[in-house]
Amino acid sequence: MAHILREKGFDARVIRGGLNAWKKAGLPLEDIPADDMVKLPTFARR
Amino acid sequence: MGNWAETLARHGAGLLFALCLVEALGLPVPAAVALLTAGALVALGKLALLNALLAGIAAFLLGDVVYFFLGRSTGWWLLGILCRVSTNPDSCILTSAEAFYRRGRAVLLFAKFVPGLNTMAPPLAGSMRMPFVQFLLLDLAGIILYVGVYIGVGFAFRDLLATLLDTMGRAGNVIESILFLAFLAWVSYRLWLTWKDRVYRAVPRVDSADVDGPVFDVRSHGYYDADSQRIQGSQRLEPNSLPDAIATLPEAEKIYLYCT
Repeated sequence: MAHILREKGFDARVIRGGLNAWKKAGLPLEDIPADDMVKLPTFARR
Repeated sequence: MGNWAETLARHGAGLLFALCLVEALGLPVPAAVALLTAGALVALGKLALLNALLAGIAAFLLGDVVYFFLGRSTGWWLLGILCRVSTNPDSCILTSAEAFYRRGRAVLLFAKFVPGLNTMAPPLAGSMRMPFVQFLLLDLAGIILYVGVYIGVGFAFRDLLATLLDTMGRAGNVIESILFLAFLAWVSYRLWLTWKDRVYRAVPRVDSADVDGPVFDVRSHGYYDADSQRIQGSQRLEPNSLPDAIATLPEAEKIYLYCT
């Protein structure tokens, strides 16, 4: 995706090591807001 | 009846168990051929029917239960891994889950007969929180059907199978050459992919501490599990909606992308 964005003129960079490296560095995280969650079907009894 | 059948006859149910377990764990092992051969060996009195049935059923059940609990404990992570071979992992997870849900739990009854689905169904059932006892009963029924059909066909068509195995035994060198060429083709394909994707290595990478602009989360499965987290202040950039999202991205500053 970064490559596609760069081709379209954006100055896109990739965070080395991704979320895992960010966590290891002790940098701040947040819970994903409920509205952003993708709701997949489930067989769990409600 | 060929070297393969003799090997299976010599090692019996233990080898059948091992082959079926390896296939249940997703590796490309022809367990169906082993079950067909086992059926023929049963017909010839070289393998006990009960041992063959129990070996196949126990192996598939063990593999499926392992994948079920892996799916349950890792949420959608395992499915994300299995979907990596797909050209579109996001779409793979969504369509797999929705198709499984739409067709209902009965999918487990015939999943073993469908390549791909046989590996995906148990972790899907786990990820989708299917009650374990229900999974166990349906999966067991599907396994009994699968093992029974293949052993039954091997039993009924033992003469035809013996001819085929004899032919395969005589054509051993040709088959080895074909397999070697297939392996070479696969290695060449991987090398070509590596060469083709070299442009992606040109994208600048930065350490977490050096990020000083808007951050976008491009993970394929990070937004499915209730307890998921992301980098503080980041926004989701969903790969499938990239053409629409591009209009909203800042053009004048650096933007940072991350995945798992």
